[in-house]
Order: sequence, then structure tokens, then C-alpha cells
Amino acid sequence: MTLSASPRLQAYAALAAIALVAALAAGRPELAALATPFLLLVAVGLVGSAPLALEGTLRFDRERVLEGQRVRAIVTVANRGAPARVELHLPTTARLHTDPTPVAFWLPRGEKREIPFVLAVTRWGVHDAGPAVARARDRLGVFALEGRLGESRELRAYPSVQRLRRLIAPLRTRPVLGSQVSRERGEGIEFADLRPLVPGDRVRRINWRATSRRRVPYVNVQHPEHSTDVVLFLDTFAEAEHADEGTLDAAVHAAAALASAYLARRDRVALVSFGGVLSWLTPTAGPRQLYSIVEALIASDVRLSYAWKDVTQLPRRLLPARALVLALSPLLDARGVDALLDLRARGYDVAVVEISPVAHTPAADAASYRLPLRLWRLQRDALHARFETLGVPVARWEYPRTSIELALEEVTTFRRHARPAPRV
Amino acid sequence: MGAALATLLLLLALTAGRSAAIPFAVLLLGAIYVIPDDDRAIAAPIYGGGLLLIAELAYWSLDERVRGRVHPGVAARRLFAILAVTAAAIPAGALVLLAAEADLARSPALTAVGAAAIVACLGLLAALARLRGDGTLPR
Repeated sequence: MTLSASPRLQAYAALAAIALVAALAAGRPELAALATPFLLLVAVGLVGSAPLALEGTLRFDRERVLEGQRVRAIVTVANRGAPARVELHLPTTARLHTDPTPVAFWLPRGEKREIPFVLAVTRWGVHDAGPAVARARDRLGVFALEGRLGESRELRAYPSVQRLRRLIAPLRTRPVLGSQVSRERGEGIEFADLRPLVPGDRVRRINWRATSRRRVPYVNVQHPEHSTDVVLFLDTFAEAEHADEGTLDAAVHAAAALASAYLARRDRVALVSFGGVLSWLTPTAGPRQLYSIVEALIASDVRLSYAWKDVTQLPRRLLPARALVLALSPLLDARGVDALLDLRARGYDVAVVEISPVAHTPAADAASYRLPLRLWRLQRDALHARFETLGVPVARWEYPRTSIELALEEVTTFRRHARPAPRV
Repeated sequence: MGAALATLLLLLALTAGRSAAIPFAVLLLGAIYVIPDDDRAIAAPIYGGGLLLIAELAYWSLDERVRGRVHPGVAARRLFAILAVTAAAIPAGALVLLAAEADLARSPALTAVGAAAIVACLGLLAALARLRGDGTLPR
């Protein structure tokens, strides 16, 4: 904390010195009498009070919240020095809102005061809250002690998870029991086909109606219920952000919702944050993986980097051969785009949800930017066509205007009509 | 004329939030009191106390420009402290006048005491001048 003196001390000392010198020079004692009150205040201010000393802490009623929730917080201020008028500025940031009006109170020596307040968490993320800033003045306001009270506290805000009713079905599944109806044939619930009975078939699988019609025993063949591997591919090279909402917000919300939905279907889900900082979680099933993914998501951020990165930097176990790679990307950075094209070239089942950056462009409505915007949109359309030529569906998601389910349905529709050839 | 100018300076300081004009207003008010050599209605110690009160209230107004939720009893403490210093300054000023009226014979020792007092005042001024530009005390 920084101790400073009021500027009036210097002014009073200067006034007193002028008056005293003038009194001596002119032989006018009343000038010395006029200077006396100012000298007295300077003397009382400098000598008469003990030094100021404040300590403080910030604490929350909980350290994990959902975005949009409110946290009750308390700033405790303890006075270890002279009695002081304390002016407390509560911690507030762009993502953590509270009443910015400072609170002023009198704090006698050796006492402490607790100031409760409410902090509104507007966005997911790992927030550094505080510390509160305090300014203490002694009784005459001659000295002021100013600085931060204690340390900042970490507040983890989790994104709200939307419940998805429809998901993208993978082209290939892994031969482990799950909820995804496989395209393969075997034992399951969903009817797939009929075939003649072969030795080893169970009697209960005989289709009696087909058998009686053809006079040869036929059995039912089903699609087995398998699980799948889903790799959520977050492109964090760049984002478009406007008015506190951006493409990374959308990507994090979508990734949390998709991870929750796929894990509920007993699939294995992996997360790749592909950007300035490369991070990943290998495919795992179960509710613990959901917590791990959400923890990783709230730490994700767009960090500027000029380093070239490609998929060869990802470990092999992160990308199982039959995995569905579901990319959430604004398609703004060539490195992210090339990585997705590379994955497709390697035979992966890739689907792209393009989080449209156009909606987050502040100049979208400006007349002077009409032509460059049109060119930019044409470039993006060409990029879409490039993906679709390779059999990669690209669904445009206008966040927050539309739901992600619309984009997922668009991917499903594309795959229904233009299925990419499976890897050989 | 002088009083009007001093009031204008104070108003300027309070409206613009610049404390630099306050000492000049006080200096002007002091000059108004001293320059006429005739009998004055108010005694110098009381007038000095009044000048201090004006200056203190002006500086206090500037300190309170930041809006905030102020708990009760905060302002009263500073007000009492200012009034106490002002009240103590009046007899101190009277004492200075009495000392000036005292019929003391000139002597080298007395001159040395006077010179030492001036040096002490200037020393105090120099110490305050050592404060950094932002008012922070040197460590």
C-alpha cells in the first residue's frame, strides 16, 4: 500500500513561510498570527497521529458458480494503525459485476469491519476477483494510505449446459455396447435385414413369417447398439467478439452441451483446444469426463500466436480411427481450417459447426463496409464449398440468434444426402 | 475587489476540482487583511483561524468529490478535528501577538533563537517539498 500526504500540507507550509518572512521583513506581527493556524495544522498533522495501517481479505460464500448466478462476498478490513476513514472500492471487472459505488466508513484502531456485497458472474471462465482497493485517511485527512487489500481470489464460473435432443450420428462406431445404432449388422434391437439361417443362429431369431413364405428358414438381422468416439475440436486461434458475446462463448457453450449429451449416451468424448495454446483430453466415457471437459473449457482462451500448428502435434491416442471429429470453429484462422482439411484427408469423419463471426462484426451494418463484407462473405462461401467437396458438412450457426440444434440438424441433413466414402 | 477575486478563485477550485487555486485565495484574503494599516474589526488570531477554516472546508469538499455510500458519523469526526485545530489556533495566534508585544532587549542569543526558528520553518518546508510529485512519502 502507498502512503501519501495531502497536497495541502505543502500549501500550508508555504503560506506560513511567506507570512513569517513578510512579518519579519515588514515588522508586522499580525502576519505571524495569521500564519500560526496553518503551522499548527501542519504540526498536528505530521506529529499528532500514528501511522496508518490496513489489512484486508476477500472471501466468497462459494468458489464455483454457474454463469449468470450471484455470489455473496465479504471484504474484511482490519485497522492496525491510527483511526481512519476508510473508503472501500469493491472489486469489479468486465465479467464480474457489483455496485461500483465506494463505501466509506470510520474504523477505529484495532477494529475490523466486514462489508458484504453481491457479485454477479456474467460469463463463464476462471476469474480473478479482487482484491478490493481501499483508501484510508487519518482524522484530519492529512495522510492517505491507498492500495489493494490482500490477494485476489479465484472464482470458477461454469457455462450453462443446454440439453440437446438431437445429435450428429457418427458414420462408424466402436464395437462396445452403447446407445448409438450402428450401421453394422449383428445383434441388437433395430431391425436391419433378413438372411437365410446358418448353423449357429439362435432359433428365437427366426422370422417365421418370412420362413413360411419362402419355405426356407430366414432369420432377422439387427443393427447392434454401439458406442462411439467423439472428438470435440475447438478452434481457439481467433475469435470474433462484440458486445461481450463472441464465437468462443458459443464454442464453449456448444462443446459443454455436446459433451454432456454424448457422454449421457455412453460414448467416449475427447476435447482438443487447437489454438495458440494446444491442450487436449483423451477420449473417456463417464460423468467424470464431463467435469474434466468443463474444467478444461472454462480455462480455454484465445491467445495470439504466430506458431504454425498442425494435427501431427496431437497424440495418436487422441484421435481414434473411428472417431467423429466435431469441429466448433469460426473458420477465421488458416491453421484451424488446414487442420480440419488434414483430418479429413486422413480419413476421419469430420463435421464442422461454423460459428458465424459475421453476427459479431460491428461493421456489419455500415454502408462503407458493404463491399469488403460482401467479398469476405464470398470467401467464406468458397471455403464452405471446399469443405463440402471433400464430404465435410459445414453448418453455419448464427449464435446467439439460433440454437445449435439447427446447425446439428443441418449437418445430419447434409450427411443423409451426401455421405462421404468410409475410409478403406 | 480582492474579496471578490478570492471568492472567484475558491469557486474555480471547487467547480474544476483543482486544489491549486485554494492557497492563492487564502493568500489574497490574508493580503486584504494586512495591507490596510488602520484599525481592524476582527483580531488577527480570529481572522487566521477563519482563513484556516475556509481552506480546510475547501480541501474537504474536494476530497469528497468521489460519490459513495458514506456510513453515519464519518464526516463528524473530521469536522470536530478541524474545529478543534481552529479553536486551538486562536489562542496560539494571540500568544504570538503577545510575544511580539513583549519588551525584550535585543541580544545575540535572541537573534540566534529567531534565526533558528526561521531555519526550522524552512527545514519543515524543505521536508514537505521532498514529497514526490504524486504526494507519496519517500521511503
